Amino acid sequence: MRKTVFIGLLVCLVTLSVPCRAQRGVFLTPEQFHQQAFAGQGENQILWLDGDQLQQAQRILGHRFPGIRTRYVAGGTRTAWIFDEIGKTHPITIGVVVEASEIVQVKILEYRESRGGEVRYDSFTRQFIGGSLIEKQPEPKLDATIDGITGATLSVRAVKKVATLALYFHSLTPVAYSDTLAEGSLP
Amino acid sequence: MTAHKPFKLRLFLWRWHRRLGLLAAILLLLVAVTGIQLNHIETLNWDNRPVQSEWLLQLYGVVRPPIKSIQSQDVWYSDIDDGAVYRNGERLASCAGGMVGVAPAQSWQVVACTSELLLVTNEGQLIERIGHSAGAPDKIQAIATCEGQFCLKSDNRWYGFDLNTLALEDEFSGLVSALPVAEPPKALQAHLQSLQSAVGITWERVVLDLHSGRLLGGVWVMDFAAIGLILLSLSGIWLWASGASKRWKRRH
Repeated sequence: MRKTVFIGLLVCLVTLSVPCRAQRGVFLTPEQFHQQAFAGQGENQILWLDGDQLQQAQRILGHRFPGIRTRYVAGGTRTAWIFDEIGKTHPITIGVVVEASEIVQVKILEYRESRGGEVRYDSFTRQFIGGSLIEKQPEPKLDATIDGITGATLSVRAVKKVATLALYFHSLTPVAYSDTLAEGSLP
Repeated sequence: MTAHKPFKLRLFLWRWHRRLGLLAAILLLLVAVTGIQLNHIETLNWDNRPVQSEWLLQLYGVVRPPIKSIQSQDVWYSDIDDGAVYRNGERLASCAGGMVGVAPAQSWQVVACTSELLLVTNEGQLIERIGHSAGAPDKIQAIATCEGQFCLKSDNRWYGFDLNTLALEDEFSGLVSALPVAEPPKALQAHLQSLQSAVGITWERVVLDLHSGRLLGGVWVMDFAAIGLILLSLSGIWLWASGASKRWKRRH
């Protein structure tokens, strides 16, 4: 009888600890992310940022953007961005694919926090698809309604910030410029 | 044969009252002075002021971690073991895993941390942070110039690394030229040590430990002082009372 109770308790403990351990992990490597987005057709590019753009990035992130240039992969009308953004204490590696100024994919590449890993599920990241940028003062905003996740508020906030930043940076790339030309909105 | 003097309690108490009084006065002074300081610790701004004195830090068992400095083109890059890298004593950026090397590359400087590379202009502006997710190897051990090209050491092997494409090239087996860890000028070293001293021991802690007696060997020092004061009070009362009763008897 005692043995059964002991085994039962052990099983309960292991079962309860599984969700906690399952939060952290590498879910996609940068290479796999780029492969999914471009099927090997993407090219590495560098985007240099001036003072105003850095300020705008700072407003979006709520802290200084590290550096004065950033890397992205471009292919056709698509750009893919990977950023590390801190959720609560550890950085979350987030990948965003933008096409024609709209988000087409958001992926959590690596999650390092002990709680809030639900942000990696498709049910959450799907909400960003079709999201675009609205020019608002003082900083541009994400034009998409994103439902929060109980217990993952900071991680949700981090993903939203990175998605907005990716859209903003996309708007600064030559790809976005050619999109605008194609739409004929420039003289 | 000498005759024993009769034991006089009053004389005995008087003698020990004076001796104990002198000893207790020293500790009482210490408690009073540190007590006043503690009452005004915020005004004195001692609650945040870190202790710089080497022997005081040793007394607390604080061992300063070694400062690692590397000079590249007249600029000193230092790691004081606080998770950041300093450029000529000014905080440059956070440095994941600690600084492992500095190397000039193209027209910039590359500062290598264990988990990332920091690209810095010669004027000290951070250009880019290249982490593992961007293509840098997971555990960087060192960086150097390998026959004019930038290279890094990972898994105990040297590889060429293209800072534009972030591609790890073939293993390198030629001449590696890495900048050595060196001692910076004394003024800079002192400045870095002062930055390092914010390790948690403040002057408030020192005053508090003097007040409680911990710095004098343990709280029992102040316990003895308190017992001494109690004995002083009792012997003082007794001496006064016996003197007063004698005076009263003489008058009447």
